[in-house]
Amino acid sequence: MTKELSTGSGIENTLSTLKKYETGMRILLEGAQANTGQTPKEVIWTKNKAKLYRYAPEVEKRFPVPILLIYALINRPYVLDLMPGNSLVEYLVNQGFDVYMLDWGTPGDEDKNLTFENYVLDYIPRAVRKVLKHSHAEEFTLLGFCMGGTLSAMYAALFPDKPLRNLILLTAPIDFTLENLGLYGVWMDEKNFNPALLADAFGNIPGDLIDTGNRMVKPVTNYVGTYVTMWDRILQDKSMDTWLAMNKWVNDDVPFPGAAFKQWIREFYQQNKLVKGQIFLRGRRVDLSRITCPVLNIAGKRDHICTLPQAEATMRLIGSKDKEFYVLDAGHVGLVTGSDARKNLWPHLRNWLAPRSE
Amino acid sequence: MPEGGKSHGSADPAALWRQWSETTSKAWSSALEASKEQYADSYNLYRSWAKSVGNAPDPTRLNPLGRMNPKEVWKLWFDSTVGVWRTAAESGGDPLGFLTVWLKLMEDTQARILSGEALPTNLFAFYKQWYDATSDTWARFVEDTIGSEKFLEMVRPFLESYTTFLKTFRNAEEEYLRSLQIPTRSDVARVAELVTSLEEKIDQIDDAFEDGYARMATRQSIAELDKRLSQLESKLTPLSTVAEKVESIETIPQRLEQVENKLALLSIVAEKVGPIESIMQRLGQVEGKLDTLPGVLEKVSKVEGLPQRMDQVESKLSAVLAALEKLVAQASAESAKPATTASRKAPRKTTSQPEVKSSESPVGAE
Repeated sequence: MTKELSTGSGIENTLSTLKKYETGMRILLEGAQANTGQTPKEVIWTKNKAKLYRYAPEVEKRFPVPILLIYALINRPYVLDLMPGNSLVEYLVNQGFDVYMLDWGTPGDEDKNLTFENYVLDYIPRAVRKVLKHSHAEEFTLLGFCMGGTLSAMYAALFPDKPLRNLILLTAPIDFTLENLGLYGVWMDEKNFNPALLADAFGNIPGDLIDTGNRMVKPVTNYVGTYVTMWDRILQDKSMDTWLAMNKWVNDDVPFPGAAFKQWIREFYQQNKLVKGQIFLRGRRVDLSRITCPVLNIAGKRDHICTLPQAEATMRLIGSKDKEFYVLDAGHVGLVTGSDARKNLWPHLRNWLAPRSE
Repeated sequence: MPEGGKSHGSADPAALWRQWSETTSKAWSSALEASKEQYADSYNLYRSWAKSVGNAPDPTRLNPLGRMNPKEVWKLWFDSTVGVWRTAAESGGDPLGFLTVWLKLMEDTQARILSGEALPTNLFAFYKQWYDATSDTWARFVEDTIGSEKFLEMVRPFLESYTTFLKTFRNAEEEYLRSLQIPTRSDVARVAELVTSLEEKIDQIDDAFEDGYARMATRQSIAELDKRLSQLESKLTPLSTVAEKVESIETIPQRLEQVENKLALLSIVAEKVGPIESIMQRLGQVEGKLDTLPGVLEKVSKVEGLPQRMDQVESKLSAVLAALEKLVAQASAESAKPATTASRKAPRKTTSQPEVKSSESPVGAE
């Protein structure tokens, strides 16, 4: 009996190990599969490839001021709604906020000439109008993540008055002083990199090229460490849900419109025009000191995409009196997802926003 | 014409690829300071390593796996692997120093793992242990390398070469497909761009409606507009008649000019007039003087009777004189008759004077 059990256990162990290796190999070959962005939502407006989502509330709306989330032009916005239980959007909706999100979609070849003028002056204002109309509100909160934060700050500088009630910047790069950017600073130096070369050759910059650039900031962690973690979790029978969702998101790239890419690298990274007040969108100067609404600025100590000084500069540039700089011991994405975000960021966000959304 | 570049005709894309491959290899060779005879390529390290592996002793032949303990297996594996990497590093082709760092990592790990403290039980556990022990060093080295000026000097020409080639290749493809009368990707993109522009125009119209700048015209609103236009026309017709009757507009400027001149004079006069207070004082003085006037006037009215009385006196005196003359004449006639003629020739001075009646006393009128 004991011998049979032992033999059975050995076979089971072997089968189990084989199964685990099969799981790992499948992920490596087919890519991570995960059901992301599950919070129920409806599309209330579209423009070109962009879509404006309204998340369906499951609880009674407690705050009359809606929130509009603006995502970056790279990667997909579902990192803010990664999966049930690990979703900033879901949390906010369950707290009684009326949440909207602008998804830029996937640019095609025909969008290679889109610029920041289009995004800040055409897309965002229209999305704002639709949000206000849909929510029957007179004011709204703008929440920008990463480059979406930069876009949001520019919008707030150009349209500082009503209906903008609050501005939340989640790891939003504003100051592009090269010395503060680590490896990015070296690569983006004018003498090393001419963005026009890529834009002219590709039209839209391929998403995987952008992704490679981002991963190369921490190459060993991103190219090796990620998969060490994967095997470790598989072999130790740990939950793979979050890893799969994150890995799917990391590899889910979108192209960057060529003209906007040139602007982004040239005017922001190489010439650092935003902090100097030298960004002009259709002749309108983007002056961050015109931002006077309440501002919550959030950054991560271990963020290599948007470093701490990049985000911190916002505090001295804006004209708001009601402003807070909230720093977490987290990386670029770990700031908004995972257990630390659940414990720290989300409640803080809620507590800051609630009295300002009455 | 394809966008942004000169036409390269329908060049063979395969030939272009070959051309680019050779150019790029040369660029890398130059950057890596490789020998003139041999182009550097991304497989050079691998070739060096493979060659060394071929020369390494086969541990399984010397010591069959089944009869060895795990520690011996790991030791053999380390010995052979480290030896292989060392040989590969010594054979050259490692301009960035990857192998040197790798070797050091291997030797460190070998020392740590074989010290007997924590012997890995399976391949993954060993690998994980090795990764945890070395990843920081390895990451620091890689980041230093890809951030170094030497690395960037290599990347710059590669990037330029690659993008130039890509652009040329795409243009050639476009031309090639065009010559075959096949719509290209950029043709489709152009159509999509037109659709996007159209959508933008619809958005603008949508904005206009939402802003209230435009509203949909209904039949009723048009009828109302028509009615109001008719009313406006009927009001305009009498206005034109009135306008004809109005004096020529040309005279208005002249008259205005005159008015302006008068106003200018008035302003000058106004400037000359003293302060109102002094005028009031002077008016007071004038009033005071006027108050004295009635007394004076009474005196004057009395004086006014004097001329009449003087006339009366004069007339009485005239009568007295006439009476005296008459008396004188009678007296002289009585004294000298011959002198009658003379008395007839006496001047008739008093004929115009009223006759004095005998009953009137010339003095009594005084």
